[in-house]
Amino acid sequence: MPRTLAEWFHLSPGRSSFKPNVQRDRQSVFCHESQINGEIVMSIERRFAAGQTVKMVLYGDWGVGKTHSINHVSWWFEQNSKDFPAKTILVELGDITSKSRFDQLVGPFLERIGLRELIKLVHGYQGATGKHVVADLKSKGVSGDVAEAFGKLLLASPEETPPPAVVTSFDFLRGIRSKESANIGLGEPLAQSDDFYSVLLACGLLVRAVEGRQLIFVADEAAKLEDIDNDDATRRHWIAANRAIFDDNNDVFGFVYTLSGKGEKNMPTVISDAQIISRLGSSNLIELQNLDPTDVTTFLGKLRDAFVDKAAVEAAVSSGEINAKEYDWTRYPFTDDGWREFLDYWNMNQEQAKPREICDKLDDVGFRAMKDDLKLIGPDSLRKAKM
Amino acid sequence: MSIKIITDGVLSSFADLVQANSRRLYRLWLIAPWIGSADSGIDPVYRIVEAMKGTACRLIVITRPPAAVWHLNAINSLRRHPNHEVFGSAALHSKLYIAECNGFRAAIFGSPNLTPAADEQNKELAVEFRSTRSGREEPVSAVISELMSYASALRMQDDVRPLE
Repeated sequence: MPRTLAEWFHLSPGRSSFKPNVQRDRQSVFCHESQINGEIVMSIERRFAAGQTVKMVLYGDWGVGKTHSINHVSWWFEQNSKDFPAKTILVELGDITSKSRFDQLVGPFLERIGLRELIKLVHGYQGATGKHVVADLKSKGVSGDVAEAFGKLLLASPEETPPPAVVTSFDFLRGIRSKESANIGLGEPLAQSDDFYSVLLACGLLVRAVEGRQLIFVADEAAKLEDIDNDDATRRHWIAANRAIFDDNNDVFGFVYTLSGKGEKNMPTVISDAQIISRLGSSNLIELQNLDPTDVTTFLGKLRDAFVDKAAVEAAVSSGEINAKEYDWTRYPFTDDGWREFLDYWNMNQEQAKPREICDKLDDVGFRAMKDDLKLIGPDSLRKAKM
Repeated sequence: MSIKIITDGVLSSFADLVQANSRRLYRLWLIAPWIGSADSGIDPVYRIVEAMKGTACRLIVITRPPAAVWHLNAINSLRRHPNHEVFGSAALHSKLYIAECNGFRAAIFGSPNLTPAADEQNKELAVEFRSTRSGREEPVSAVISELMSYASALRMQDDVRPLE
């Protein structure tokens, strides 16, 4: 059996490397603590306090920890559901071309919610409001065909397999073009930005009425939207959709974009457009920066505490498996020189000082040390990993 | 400490470095006979100016007195940073870029002018030095100190004058 990093470095049960997992570790904050607990949570609290929905653009370099941060925010909402009742729907943007319309996002959001859940919500909405679903959604700003399509979901019982007409309505709302939608009385396939906005609005209204929660859509990796900048008509379509989403008039659902890239000025136009940024407000445009030298030290300390079985390490020190003279828990799994040089590397290479890069390098130097039968990582292992 | 040869996107590399260290940057030297800027997007001069926004970093620019509008425009872009000094020397041929930060210094010298063409089209060659040490005991730090001394002395030479 080949050696594993987990055994060699006495990682905690279930850990196979030094890399956090966005789902499993969503409750943990390994870095950006001041920004998450400060700017991000502050932005959420401020919007709730003002009776507004959460609207935010979170940006930063690739691998800086945006996805982890946004997953942590979802966890935070679960923990604070009493004071901040919200439900987050997170999707990563798929392939985007210069002709991709807003259904490229709306479709995956609906799929993430799921048809069965939507059917339950529509029935719940009718029960909670006591009103005719279609008429009521229309009265709250949902466009005609979209409201009709949501109304058709009532044809299904929440516990049974949905009939074809309901599946067709669901597809219609996702922006899928089919002949069947005309056969069940729905109009032309959805194509306009205000129609797609209406789909999100209707979902937000359903969740608010049935669950008493704010629905927050999160679109991860929106930097892919830069391809849209190359087509005028598509760009206008997305700007119109985003303008509606981030406008104060939208007090029904929240929306968060995360963007990878170097700086605010390099965002896709469909987000950085002045009309959108002015609606969003500069305090809701939050940058996650690379880790400065102090942050790197803190990050490594938190990883160590979460990932390493300290009792097992100290038993290995007592048994002589780890050289007691070289061992210090606050530097584990490094020797003194290895620790200093590892930190120095990130100090000198701030462009790369991002959690993903640091974890990759930590796994790499750990692997080199393991190959050389070294229980602590020293400068030689760093050289071999080209650090 | 590190020494690296750079042949592609030398100025973008330097802009990356400035951007990543902007929170601890306290002095930046830009020495190049020619300076040009697209003044948007990924242009290195633009990115450097953006990275320094809101910082107290001192910017020192030494270049040839501009004869072309594009050169003057690029200098004016750099002048948007409040804490700047711009000097002109008709005989300037050196190309040297230094970032001084708290706890870190980096210098790049070689063939590229500070222009979009040098970054994207020309065949260029440069050497980059990085060190977290100060003083002259550690070799790379000693080279950076020498380059800083060169830059500082250059500014004091008779034919180098502040550009109005």
